[in-house]
Amino acid sequence: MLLVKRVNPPVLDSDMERNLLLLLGEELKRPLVSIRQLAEMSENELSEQMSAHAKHALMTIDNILLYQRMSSGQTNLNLEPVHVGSAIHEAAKQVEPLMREAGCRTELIIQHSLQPVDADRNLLTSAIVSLWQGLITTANPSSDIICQAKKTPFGVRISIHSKSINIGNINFSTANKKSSQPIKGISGPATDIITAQGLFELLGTGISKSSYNNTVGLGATLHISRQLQMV
Amino acid sequence: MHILLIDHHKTTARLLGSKLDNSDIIDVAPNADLAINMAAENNYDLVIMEMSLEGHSGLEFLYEFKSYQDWIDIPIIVYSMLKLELEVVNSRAWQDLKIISYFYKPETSVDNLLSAINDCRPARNETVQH
Repeated sequence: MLLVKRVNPPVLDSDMERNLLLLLGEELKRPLVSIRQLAEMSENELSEQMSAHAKHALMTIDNILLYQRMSSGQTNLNLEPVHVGSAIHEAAKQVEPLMREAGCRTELIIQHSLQPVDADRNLLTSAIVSLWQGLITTANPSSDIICQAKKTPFGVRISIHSKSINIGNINFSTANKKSSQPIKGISGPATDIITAQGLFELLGTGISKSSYNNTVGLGATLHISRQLQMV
Repeated sequence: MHILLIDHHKTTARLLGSKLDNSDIIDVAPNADLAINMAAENNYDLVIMEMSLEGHSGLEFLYEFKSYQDWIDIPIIVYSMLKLELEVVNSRAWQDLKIISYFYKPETSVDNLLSAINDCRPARNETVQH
């Protein structure tokens, strides 16, 4: 009779875990870049979709790696005055292929009188990209997605809204915990939204959802939970 | 144009081969050592390179390449899997290497890369002296 001995696996050293994650990220990026390049060589009707999805996957990996490096202290935040509008415009450029492939339209509403906020420019842009990507993948095709930045008495509020979105109740305080259940109403692990939560937390804020309708056509707004302070 | 591509990923060579003019010649070096040897035997108009190279790093190649008077004016485009922070790309040391463009592969479309390559083409009546 074969006896099976159960033992607890050794706990991975946190450096080892970090290095493995970095290596995995870099390993995954290479074939994705090749897929994107091959898609752009092909110029057939599927190639734009392939390229957009490869780019989405690449940005998701980079955003996760950014979160991992910053949250572990490997990379420091470079705080500087950042115009939220410019970060949103940069994010819009990065998500444009995915928006086009999903048939979604973008609207940007950026208040004119916004003062700069004290933030890491790269981190802020990546957080907005991550959140936006998350909404694109949960919105119905051909939806309108509106990204807005406005001044409030407390600072600058960033929100992304879609009228056609299938997104259930999200408890953001537990969404990124290991024991949490998958987010209802979203097909797929909502990686981008959870990554965005992590990235916004590094900026000293987080994400809140201000509409709780789970009905297509009524929409949802995701906004940062604490306004970014203006300098 | 006669282009030296320094990259061990074959897809990049195929990409450029399929998109550039028929009159362009692309030589491919999978590592920095071979690239130096090839540069010594040919007159290149442009170098396109990956920074993450096997053997000597891209940075070591850059410093060696630019140390030769004959090659100092050859434009270099960095098209790399390595994500460089803005402060590196904007640094004096980077500017001194006379790299005309830096592209992070995961975020760069073919069109953007081709546009930068086309910007390096000499005007019709201009001849490039090496």
